[in-house]
Amino acid sequence: MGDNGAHIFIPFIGLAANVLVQISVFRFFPGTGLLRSVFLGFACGFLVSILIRPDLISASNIAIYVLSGYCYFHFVNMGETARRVRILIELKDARQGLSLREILERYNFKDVIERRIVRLVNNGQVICKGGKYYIGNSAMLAIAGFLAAVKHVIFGRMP
Amino acid sequence: MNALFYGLLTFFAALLVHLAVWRTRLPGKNRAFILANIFFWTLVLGAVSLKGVSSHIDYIVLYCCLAAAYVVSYPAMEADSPSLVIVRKIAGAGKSGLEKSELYRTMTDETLVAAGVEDLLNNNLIRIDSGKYILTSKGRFLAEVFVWFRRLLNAPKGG
Repeated sequence: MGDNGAHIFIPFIGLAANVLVQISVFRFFPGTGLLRSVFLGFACGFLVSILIRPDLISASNIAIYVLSGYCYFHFVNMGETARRVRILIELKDARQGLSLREILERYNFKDVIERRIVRLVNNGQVICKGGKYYIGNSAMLAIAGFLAAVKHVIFGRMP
Repeated sequence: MNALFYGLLTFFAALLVHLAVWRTRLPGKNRAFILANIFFWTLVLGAVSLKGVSSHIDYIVLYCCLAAAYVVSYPAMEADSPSLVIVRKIAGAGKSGLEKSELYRTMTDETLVAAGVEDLLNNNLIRIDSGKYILTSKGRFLAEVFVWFRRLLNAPKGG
């Protein structure tokens, strides 16, 4: 590429901008919501990647930015939604450890369901009418279908 | 373009090895570690045999990002995400809708929390001592990372 390999840093500068914008937006404007802050951060990082040295941008650079942005999204999402991360944090807070019963006192199936219903309704993926839930938009359903197909390929079984 | 092509090619080669191993004999423990090993050794082989490829560093970085994106997505494919299970159940109810009590009836502590505890145990992130679950050093490190990041976001516990 004639730039002594400097171009390889471009997607990571974009990623740094992505992280910085995402954290700042969510921390200082919490009303924006986590998902929107992630999208905003991703878009800003992408712009930085493109504008920093437009002459050095390549298809692989863009792919590297998108993939590293996806990994960051996943990291943010794990902190927000992962049950195993929540259990680890509960155990960290309890110096003497916790029995299964004590874990369930702090975090149980009702919490898991309640939090997800609230998120799905807030994101418009599910609608609540008269105490009953209906599909709002089909995005999550499409993801569920895609994951079921992937699971079938990898494990040979459907969920 | 070379980097993109060869990066994808090596990634799909690693995916084939992963599929062959998983479909022949599904590893019982440390699946993420085994998966990371498959991707690492495929990279070593690919990097040595494709030494002559122009933009070799782009190829390696791109492959690492593809592998990282797959490895971080893997747990979601392995476990049934509660959000997706909820969406599938709501979709299954169709026009008559689904009541929350139906979710409470079919999704239990056993499947939503105890299974996560078991998984953490299998991955050596926690250990059991006199009936109490305690973090291992690996688990403590992971918990610290997420607590630190959530504090940075000024966000409460997730889950």
